[in-house]
Amino acid sequence: MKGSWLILRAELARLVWTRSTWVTGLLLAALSALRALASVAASAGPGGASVSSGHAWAPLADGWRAGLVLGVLVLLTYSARSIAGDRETGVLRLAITRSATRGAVIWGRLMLAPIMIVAIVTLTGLSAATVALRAGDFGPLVEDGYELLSASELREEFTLGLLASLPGLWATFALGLLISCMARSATGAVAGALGTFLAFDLFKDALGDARFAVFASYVPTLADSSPWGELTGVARGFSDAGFSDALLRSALTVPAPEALLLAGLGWLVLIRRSL
Amino acid sequence: MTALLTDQLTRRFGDVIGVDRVSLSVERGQIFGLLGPNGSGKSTTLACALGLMRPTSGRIELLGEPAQSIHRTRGRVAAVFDEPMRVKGLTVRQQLRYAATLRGHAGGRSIDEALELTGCASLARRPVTGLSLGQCKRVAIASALGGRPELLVLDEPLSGLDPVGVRDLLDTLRALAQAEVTIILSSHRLHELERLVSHVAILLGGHLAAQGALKDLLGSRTRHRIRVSDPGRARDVLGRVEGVECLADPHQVGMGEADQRADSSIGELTLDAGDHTPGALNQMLVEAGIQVHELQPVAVSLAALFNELVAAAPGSVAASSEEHS
Repeated sequence: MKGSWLILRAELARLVWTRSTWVTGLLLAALSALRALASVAASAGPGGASVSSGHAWAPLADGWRAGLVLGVLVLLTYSARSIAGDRETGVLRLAITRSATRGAVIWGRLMLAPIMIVAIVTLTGLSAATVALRAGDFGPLVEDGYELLSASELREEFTLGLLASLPGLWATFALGLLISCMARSATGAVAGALGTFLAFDLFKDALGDARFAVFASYVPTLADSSPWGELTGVARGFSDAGFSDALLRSALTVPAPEALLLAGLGWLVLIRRSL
Repeated sequence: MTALLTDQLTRRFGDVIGVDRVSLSVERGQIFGLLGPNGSGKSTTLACALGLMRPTSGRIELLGEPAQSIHRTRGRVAAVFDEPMRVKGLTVRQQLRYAATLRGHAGGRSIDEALELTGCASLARRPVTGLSLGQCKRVAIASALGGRPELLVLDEPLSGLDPVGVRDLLDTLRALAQAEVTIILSSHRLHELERLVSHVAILLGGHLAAQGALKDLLGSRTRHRIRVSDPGRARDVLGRVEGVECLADPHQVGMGEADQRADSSIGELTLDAGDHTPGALNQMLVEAGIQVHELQPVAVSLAALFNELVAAAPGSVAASSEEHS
């Protein structure tokens, strides 16, 4: 366990010291802000929002979701590069000869994932919220004098949608780690991880309800089937929008065991590899 | 106490033998040189010893721990590899801090001390990806010296270093050895290594060809240089004596000229006298009517020993011998 903590600390320090981390953070924030801005502009135009209150919710949902879509790809790319890249640069040999087992190399990174996820969620959320506030308030959604959803109900929906995405993001990170352990190079690992993930995104509609057995169905993507996809409708007061309790339940329960399984498989691969 | 022990270490890559039943013993405080031509199994041996590669069979212990549990040594082992580590996006100082974080405990030599010791202090703020190979190697060594390693393993540490860098590194390693750090290093720089190591092991084709204290290995192979009046006949006479070998190609062992001098009948021979004493050799030559002008023992160099073993190894080629001389 100590080895995992050391890996976590070292990787966290490396993230903070590396300029590309800050550039990526800026890009995520900028994308969220831009998407929220586009939403604000669209709602201000003809045929825009019909609600008279709570105009900020829709830009917030759009901007936040856009940031998280990119965030998913950032998490996947980072985790896919991590072990394969460190094997190429000799960092992994340093870790193994210093203090960490091969298992700790994986578990330490898996422990890093929640920190990265919280950072991405916070950054994209704050960025989108800052722009969304320009569109109006975070009050109740009122249409023709009728309150569709109260502010507290909307906050609750956002909280649930957000919580439901977190385990999926963790499992996405674990998928990247598994591919990173298997790949011969960092480039191959990134290509393999993105290819696998995007392929699932393209084909998941064809899988029907079976897709909900896979963690990737619960993270915001371009072909979104996650609670976040529904949230953009909820934020506009669409009557047919909303996520069911079943979807919420499976979003909270399916990805975490899959994340552990993927990380375990990664460990099995890594202990057999020469470094 | 043993720093590194390999017992019948074997590693195969499919049908190819990486190392075959190699048993090494490195005691604490030694500076141990692991020598061998390219592909002889040096890096494979070190990788197995450091837990980076699983052996096919055999037992390995590092500071009393099985190699696969090297993490239990908790920073007491440090390694520098042929291809030095470069953590992209970090400066030299940050890379050393990163390595120190992985080591997991404070104390021992500080980052500044390690940078100073390896002459890298001026590089501290530079990005590691912008360093030359030699600079990068010194930074990797500085990284290894952080804390207080008891065992330092270096795979080809001298390659890529300029002469000043080589001299400085050798001085550093000597100083570390005096501080009772055990050092295991592989290198092709035999002349430099001879001035540094106390013990050596020579690998050829994955097999252990020789192992022991350097002075014992070289001492057991003392040669004799004989200046005689008729070197051709002297060679014939001595060549018939059991246990005596005239070294026809003295370059093979690097001990000077053996060809008959063109301007005189006096010439030099270099020979392995086996168990025969210098007095016995002298008597044999004198009885054959050959005048002996000079007969003196000649110390064998590490390069000579190495090349002699390479030449004697099955399937050896002259090219590989020349490469390492």
